[in-house]
Amino acid sequence: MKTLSLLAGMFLLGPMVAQDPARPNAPSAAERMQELNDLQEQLVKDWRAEMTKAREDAKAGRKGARAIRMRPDYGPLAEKALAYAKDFAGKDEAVDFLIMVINLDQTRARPALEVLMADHIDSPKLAEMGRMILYLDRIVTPEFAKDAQAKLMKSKSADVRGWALFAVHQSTIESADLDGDAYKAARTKLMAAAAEVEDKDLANQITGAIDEREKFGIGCTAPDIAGLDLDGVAFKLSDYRGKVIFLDFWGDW
Amino acid sequence: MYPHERSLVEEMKDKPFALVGVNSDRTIERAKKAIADNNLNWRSFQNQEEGRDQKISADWAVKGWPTVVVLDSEFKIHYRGHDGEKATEVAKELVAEMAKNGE
Repeated sequence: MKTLSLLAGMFLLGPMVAQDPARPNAPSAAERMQELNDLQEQLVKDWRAEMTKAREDAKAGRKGARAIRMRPDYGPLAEKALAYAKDFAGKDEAVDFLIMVINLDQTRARPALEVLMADHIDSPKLAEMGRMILYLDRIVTPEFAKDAQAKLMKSKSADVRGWALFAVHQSTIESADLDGDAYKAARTKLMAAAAEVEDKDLANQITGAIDEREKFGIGCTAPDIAGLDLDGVAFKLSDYRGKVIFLDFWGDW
Repeated sequence: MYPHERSLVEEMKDKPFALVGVNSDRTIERAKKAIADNNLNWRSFQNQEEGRDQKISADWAVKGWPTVVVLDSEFKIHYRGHDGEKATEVAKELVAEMAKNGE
């Protein structure tokens, strides 16, 4: 009964909130965000409990043991975040809700991205999407991702432009002919961006990708390694010079 | 990957070929357990031995695991990536070329 009246209350409040989020009785964006953060915490908690239970069931050989999700189901959270973004439509507060959707629930990323591209392209907050900008083509169609990245390249925020630029030129850095014009042009643009951005992670990713290609790409001469083996005995990679070396970065974890 | 690498080492043991590991397990014990449990037959560097300021993987700009780099007898890189089978193919071709050239 309590739930019902609460729901009814929200129903009534809903449209009014949309009209005027600044109304004293309507929850502020900060309150909404707090609510979502609490909900996220709860979802993680529930998911952990479910995992523990599944593990115990499996250990005890109980029937009904099943595979469980790699991460919590953020669907309900994302739905709310999308709704709150609408309440603050056109305002900068909406950006936080939309980015939350993109970062947590990729199946609902597209509507959130559409609003961001249409209404908030210049918001410096888009930089909080960070490396998600690189992976847009994994969460929306390649065409949509390409279009979004092209728009983001025109953002007023250097960090947003930087992520988008990296997204667009990453494959050129990885695989274009090192002596070709395409590679050189991409490299020049990216190095300029790396010097300009504030996000250290982004700058490191850009210079790391270029290093990886120029120092460790096909045809490069590899540096030596001097270290200890697992018994603590010193050896060098160059001990094997003269042979074909299959260098395997591995771990059992 | 283990069975694949293990049999590769076995198959190539009389050839000019070496499989060298860089192990990223958090502890040496963990790595040694994997070696014992799976009969692993190659030598590995500790990715970050005590006192080393940067991991070998960071020096080599490695971002994903496993990563394989194939070098020829002169340390020239012929493959770098995450595809063990492709790496094997490249390595075998290099070994075959060496045999052809009488090296």
